[in-house]
Amino acid sequence: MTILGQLALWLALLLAAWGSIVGILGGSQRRPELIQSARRTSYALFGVVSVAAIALLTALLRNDFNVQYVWAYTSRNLPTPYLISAFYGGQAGSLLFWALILTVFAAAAQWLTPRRYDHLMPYVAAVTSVVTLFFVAVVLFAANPFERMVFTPPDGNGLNPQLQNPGMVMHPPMLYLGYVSITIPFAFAVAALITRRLDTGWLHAIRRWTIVSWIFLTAGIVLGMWWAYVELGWGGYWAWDPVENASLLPWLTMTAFLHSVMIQEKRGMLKKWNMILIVTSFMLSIFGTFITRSGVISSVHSFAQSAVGYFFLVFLILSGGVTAWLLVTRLPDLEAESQLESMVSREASFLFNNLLLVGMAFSVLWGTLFPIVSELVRGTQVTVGPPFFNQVNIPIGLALLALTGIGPLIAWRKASTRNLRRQFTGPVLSALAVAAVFIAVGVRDFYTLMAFGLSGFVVGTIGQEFWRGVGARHRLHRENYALAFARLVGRNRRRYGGYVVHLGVVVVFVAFAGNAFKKQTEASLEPGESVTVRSPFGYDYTFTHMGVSQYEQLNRFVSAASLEVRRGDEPLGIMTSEKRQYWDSFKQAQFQPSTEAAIESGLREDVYVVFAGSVEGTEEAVYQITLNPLVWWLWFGGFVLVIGGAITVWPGGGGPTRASLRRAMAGYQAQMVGRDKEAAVVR
Amino acid sequence: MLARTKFVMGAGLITVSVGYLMASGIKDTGVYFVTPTELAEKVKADPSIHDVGVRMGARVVSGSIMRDVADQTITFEVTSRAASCRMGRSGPPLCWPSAVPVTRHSQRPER
Repeated sequence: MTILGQLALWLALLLAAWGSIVGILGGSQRRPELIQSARRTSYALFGVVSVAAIALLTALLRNDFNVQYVWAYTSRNLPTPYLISAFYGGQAGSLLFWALILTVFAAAAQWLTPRRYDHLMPYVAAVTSVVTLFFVAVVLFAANPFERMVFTPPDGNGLNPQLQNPGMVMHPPMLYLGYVSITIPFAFAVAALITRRLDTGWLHAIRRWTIVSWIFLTAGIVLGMWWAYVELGWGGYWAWDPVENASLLPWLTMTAFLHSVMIQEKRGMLKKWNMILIVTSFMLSIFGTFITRSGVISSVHSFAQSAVGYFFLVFLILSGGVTAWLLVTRLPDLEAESQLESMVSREASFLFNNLLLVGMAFSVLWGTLFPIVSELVRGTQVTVGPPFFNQVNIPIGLALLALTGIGPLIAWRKASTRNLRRQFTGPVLSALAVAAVFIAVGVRDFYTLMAFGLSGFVVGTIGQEFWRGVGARHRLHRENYALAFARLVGRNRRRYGGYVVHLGVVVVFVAFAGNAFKKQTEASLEPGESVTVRSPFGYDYTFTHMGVSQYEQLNRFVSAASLEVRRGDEPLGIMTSEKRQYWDSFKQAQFQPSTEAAIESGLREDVYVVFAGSVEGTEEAVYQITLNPLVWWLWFGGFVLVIGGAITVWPGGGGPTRASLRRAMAGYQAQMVGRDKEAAVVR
Repeated sequence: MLARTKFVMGAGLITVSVGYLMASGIKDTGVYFVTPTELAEKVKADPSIHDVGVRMGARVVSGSIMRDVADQTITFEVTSRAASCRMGRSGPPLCWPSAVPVTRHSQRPER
């Protein structure tokens, strides 16, 4: 099978090179047979890379330990779901997985894009082929998962225990889907730049792709947080690790784009800015991979160091250079059609939102790269950790939260004072009420109060928007409230889906604010001994150590320590945290012992228990106990974000109608004619 | 005042604020990580150095981590190209020059 896989990769390399050439030639010379060939190459690439992926999966599932990749990341006793996830558990496999997803998206873009964008499609095929060419080349020349060894070991090295977790089965594919799908909007942007068709057409073509990409990135980031929380055993979910940051960077620029694109659609402004945001998002997705794979920055996610980093660096420089050249030469075609009329307008609030998001992205990038920058400039490596990121990003995040509430309340172009008073009264009262409640219960921390108060403001805004929309339908169409609500959302999916996303943002912020009340304690307990911890909600949790048991389970030896937990007088049950020593099929220990935290999740707070170890082989156990307020809301907030995104992207409802597209095209043509006339006058 | 001018002022304010937050953040929280060589020099200069918080940039030697659950301490070795150190709470760190990797082209040292 590995020979088939190798052949498939070589064929993919040739096909990708062919697709790149015929895409550009077909587009520039308008030769239908070449355009058709570029389109078909995208489909063929999907087929061929799928064959390579199936070959690797087969090798993994068959325990073919002669294949170095299979030996390095699996073992005979590894459960099947993790055999499959080992596909993207290592460097080479994950790059092949990336190439596979890319070809899926490239083929889907060719398949699903309406005919009216045919003028862009050969270039889209060319760009996706070039990116595929790069990934296939990296897989073939720098990280080949089909390399065989000179002998066949009886068993494999096994999968890192921290990757043997359901969160890890889902988190990387989601993140990869997010990263890779940015290639499609990027390809359309480059196609629009090459063809100089810089009207809103290409934006309509990529609208769904950008939201889909944003949804996957969001889901990937939240699942990554969940994995870190349940698996790493330190009681938190975000450590500002370089690779976590790398996933956040394109998310921030994509979020900025999703807002600024509305200004271009409505007012014909920010054409250059939008182009830069899409290109930057793509570059950041590649940069994230470069950080993970190159080993330039230490991270818990680092893969083995290899030449892969150089490939990425070269690709980053080349693609950045070509795109920058295209952008600079097309600047005259990206002039705005209108100007900002008032500071008190939705455009202005979106612009500030964009500046803050990009500012946040820049600060995260700066903090991530600071060790390298300081070493280059001063010769010493100075590192910044979570305190830096928190100090910079909490104020920016709160400003963004405020704008999340302000934006929808202000009219486009210019808002009158009367209109502002009408719009802002409810949300401001809501913010004050929430802040007053939290002050009354004794919260004094400024940032926490701001987070809760502004959350109240945004919820007030969203509630008011829904209430007025439903009320209007109820009056105009005589629909009952439930029907009016369903139709309001169903027929304005982009707008109301966006509000659902904003609601998700509020929920996530509330969960973050809960972090300020976290309580952590350490206790060494003999069987029968207890420790009591007071929660920020005023409950007394009593933890009684019940003993340590040891047993074999699947592919590991487990030492499990159990605590009986009570909240006040109410028994909550028994929480068991484990220390696991994984072994291969010959019961030889693999990896360092790992920890499985016991988590009792609730709406108010999570009880998080980690068994740190037994004292000298006795049943005396050392525990780290953490009370984590409002963490459950983070996962729920992530779910709401994804649902909101799904509403906006769902077919029908909010998409551009044929009539609106005709109007947009007519406007563009009129503008072009006007420009020609101006040029004639100048001549 | 034109809306555009006002916007440029607002944007400038945001840029300056973000810049200030970043600069002050680096100043307040930036930490220098000593290398094993520098730690070795410190130990040489003051052999009694002990119970001092040190942030260190080096790689942990695989398999060197020893956990003592009873007194909740960890002993481990860290290494860079130039030097290696054994870190623990029982005494000052013990440092030594890292072994020169033996390669195919390395010469046998003269006696």
